[in-house]
Amino acid sequence: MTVIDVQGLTKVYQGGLKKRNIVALDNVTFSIKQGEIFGLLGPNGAGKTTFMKVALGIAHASSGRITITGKRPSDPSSRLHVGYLPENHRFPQHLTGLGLLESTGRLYGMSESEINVRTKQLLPMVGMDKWGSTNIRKYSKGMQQRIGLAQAMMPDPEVLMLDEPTDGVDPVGKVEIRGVLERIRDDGKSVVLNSHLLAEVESLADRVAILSRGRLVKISTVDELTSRQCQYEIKADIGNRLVEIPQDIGRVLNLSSQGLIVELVEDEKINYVIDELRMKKISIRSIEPLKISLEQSFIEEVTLSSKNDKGEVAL
Amino acid sequence: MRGMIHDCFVEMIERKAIWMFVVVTLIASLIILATSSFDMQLQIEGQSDIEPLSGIIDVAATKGLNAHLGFMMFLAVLATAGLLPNMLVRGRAEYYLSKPISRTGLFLGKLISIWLVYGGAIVTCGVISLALLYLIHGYANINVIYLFVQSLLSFFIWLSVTTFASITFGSTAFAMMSAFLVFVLQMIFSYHEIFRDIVGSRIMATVGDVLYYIFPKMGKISDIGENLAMGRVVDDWIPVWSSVIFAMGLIWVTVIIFNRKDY
Repeated sequence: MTVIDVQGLTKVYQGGLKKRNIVALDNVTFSIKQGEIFGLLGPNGAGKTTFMKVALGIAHASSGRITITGKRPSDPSSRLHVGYLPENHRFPQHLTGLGLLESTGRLYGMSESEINVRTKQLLPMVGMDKWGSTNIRKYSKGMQQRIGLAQAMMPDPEVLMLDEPTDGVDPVGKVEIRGVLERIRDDGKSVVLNSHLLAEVESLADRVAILSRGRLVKISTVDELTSRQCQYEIKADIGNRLVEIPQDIGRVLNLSSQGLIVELVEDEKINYVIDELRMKKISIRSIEPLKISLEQSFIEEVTLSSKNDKGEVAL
Repeated sequence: MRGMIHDCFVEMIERKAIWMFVVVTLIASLIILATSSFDMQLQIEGQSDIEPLSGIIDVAATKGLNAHLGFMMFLAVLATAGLLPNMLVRGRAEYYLSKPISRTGLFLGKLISIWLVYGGAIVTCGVISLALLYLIHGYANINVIYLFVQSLLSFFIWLSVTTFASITFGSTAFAMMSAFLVFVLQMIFSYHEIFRDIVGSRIMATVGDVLYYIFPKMGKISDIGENLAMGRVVDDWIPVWSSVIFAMGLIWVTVIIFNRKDY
């Protein structure tokens, strides 16, 4: 089931006098399914935060269509089951951590008894149970992130939108937040995660969208993004034997006594390589698609997109 | 709505704005206590023979209470000018606007919360002064309710001005300056009849008249409240109605601007 549906979404910020217009989102189309952690990646100014703002009605779309659980952002009820942790948030400084959660609950129209139950669940969950009565202005950056995450989870949302949730959080806290997000996903809820920490997104997200200069460059699963197409790493006892494959099958990228890396013209050709190794009585320990980090894949995609943009300009 | 009123009340306490009202009421109370021998003084000087003593005290008490409420309203306008810009700064606007409340609801909820909480503070402090006036001078005048109504109405009109500037420019300084500007302009426009006699141009005279009727007339509203409190008849209600229409119009424009803005 689709929880967020985006069709041809464009957002142009009007520059005003002597300033040019800024295209923050350019004809973006994708959808987010129920129960998945969806990562939004992109360099600074790619439009990730703008996407979240448009989805929540904080900024207005210039054209295109976006719905959350079937409702447009102009309908306030579209946000009834959505929690949001903004980037660089400045929660009301006159409130305590507990006060912020209570205030959030009231803004969601929750009853006092519901608020009591929920705050008692959330403060320990984000490791803030000892700091609930302390004023927010006295919190460290990491504590503010934790309480921010708690306020986003206050209405027990179906969709949780998090903009840099682990920014300023210590390594232990990051692991705890990761655990909380996995639990939310396991409960069948969706998480939209916008983070610069690609290792974090790689370990958490089911699918990612890469945005660059407001355009959707790529959308796929993390596995697809980090797998090299038609490249395999074969661990085998090669010793000092020579392994060659014909050009119409592929080529050997790397050969060592412990194994080899091959690039094939198509995935099915891996069987030829296996047969070849067996014929030479080489024992195979494992065959895996060659993996690269999400970071490497991200840099490649964004660089390619920039080159294409420049090419278009040159044309 | 209850959340916003609660939030606004906590904010008033935390920002220590409440102390401003406490200090002013304390000063007012000290002045009332200092005048405890006033009636005796009048009797010694023989002025009680010219006018009934209670009449002089009633007039002084009514005018004093009106001044007290007026000053508190002025403080409330200053104290609240920064509340909306503060709520809509980057990083905080996202928190409020991402909640399942329409922008119109959010704006009106905040406006009404500010009016209720700070208006409540004005009324509470005024009632304390009134109670002291009763205890010290035996001042009991049911018509003083008009002074409270006038203060709350004036505060609402000023709020419409400061919230308009807050939403349009997103700045506390602009909100305060706009209130000051309207205050000065309404004073200038109150002389529209003299202006009409001075300028030769009929068009300019008409412009002056139109601006007088459009702008709020806070000074005149205060006079109306005071006259009603002293049991006098008020013939001209135009200052009240035109000011209320001005405030409602400004709130309507503010809602439109707020709904169109990106944060």
